[in-house]
Amino acid sequence: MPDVKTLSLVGGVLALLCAATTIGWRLKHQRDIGINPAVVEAFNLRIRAWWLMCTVLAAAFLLGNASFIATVVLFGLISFWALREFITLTPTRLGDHRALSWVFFIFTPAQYILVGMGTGSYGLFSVLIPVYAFLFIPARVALAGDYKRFLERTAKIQAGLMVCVYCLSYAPALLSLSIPNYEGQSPRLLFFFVLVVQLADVLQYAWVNCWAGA
Amino acid sequence: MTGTLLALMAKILAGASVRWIGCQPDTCQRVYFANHTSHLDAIVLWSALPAALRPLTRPVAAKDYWEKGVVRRFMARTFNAMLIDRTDIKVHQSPVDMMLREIGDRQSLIVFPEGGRNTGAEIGEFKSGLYYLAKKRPDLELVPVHIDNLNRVLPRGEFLPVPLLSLVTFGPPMWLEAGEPKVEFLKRSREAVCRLKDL
Repeated sequence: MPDVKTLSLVGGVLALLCAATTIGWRLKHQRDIGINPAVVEAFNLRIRAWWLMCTVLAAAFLLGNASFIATVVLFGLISFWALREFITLTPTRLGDHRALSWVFFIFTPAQYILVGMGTGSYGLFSVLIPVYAFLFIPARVALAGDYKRFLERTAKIQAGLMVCVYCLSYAPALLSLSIPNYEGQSPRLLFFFVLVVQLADVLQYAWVNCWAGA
Repeated sequence: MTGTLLALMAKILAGASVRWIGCQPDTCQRVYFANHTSHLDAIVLWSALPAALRPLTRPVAAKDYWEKGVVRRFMARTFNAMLIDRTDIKVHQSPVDMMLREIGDRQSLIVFPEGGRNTGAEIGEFKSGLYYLAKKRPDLELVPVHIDNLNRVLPRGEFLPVPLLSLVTFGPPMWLEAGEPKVEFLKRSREAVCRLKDL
């Protein structure tokens, strides 16, 4: 049974989301306040995305015993989507194809499987990408024989893997962290982390749209 | 059911965002013609159509590729491909006549007028099939489609796809003008596809 702290956290986030939704709804239905409708539309889309994110996260947290695995799988999927977006925008060449297959189908799942195995595999999971994948990618690209912009291409693939998979995989890894005197409270730590990131996004958006133009 | 599943798979693998510019989805008889860079083109374009149009639309695909193996044959049946034998084309059994016979007065076609998959960045010259289709059935709407980024998802000669995002753009329909020469028409239709690239 969730304790008071968790409930108040969840309640707080729900209240914030409801407030934001109400504001967005009112802005949409007041035509004559001099705010660009496109901005309001973008704001409402963002709120919808936050609802979705919170629902999915909450569902993953509340699954009980399976919640650790569910959260790891969820972040694994987020990594996959993020990496897909990143590589799409990266000007890779045909010679990178096999290396990219390895990145998507071997390294990304392997990293999350190691995270899912808990702290016991920390030794491998902390070096799999920064050491082994980083050596493997240039080797595989070199084997493909396309030397044009070689360093630039491999560096970009490495950067994508680093940011979208390696760094992100530390978020669900928080759950397997055992801090003295705070045992069993790791989900709240992850929740706090996600909340801070989300708030940063909200504030950044609000500041840019309210004051940057003035 | 399997069709929806295949469309979903295409979505995960090739994540196509779809744009309709100067054209709306419609059940009228059409010929969608697109640039061809990957074997996935037919599936992705077909999946980009609204679910209601998919059973009415038949991609024209190479028989030698799609009849190889159980999986490909099953997939070809699911996206109701019209398989054309590229190696066995006879004068009295021209593919254009066969296509027109198969679609009757209900179905639409997806064709890739470049003939084969092209590897370069430029869209290749169009083969004349599109012209004869338009000439024999002037009532068909010809819709140019540009598919972007799929050559990176599954390039020529590769077996394993890399999941990237692609972009499918449908352009305004065109028709064969009265008395328009073949070369002119093919050039015009090729430009219609090229133009969508930069929109």
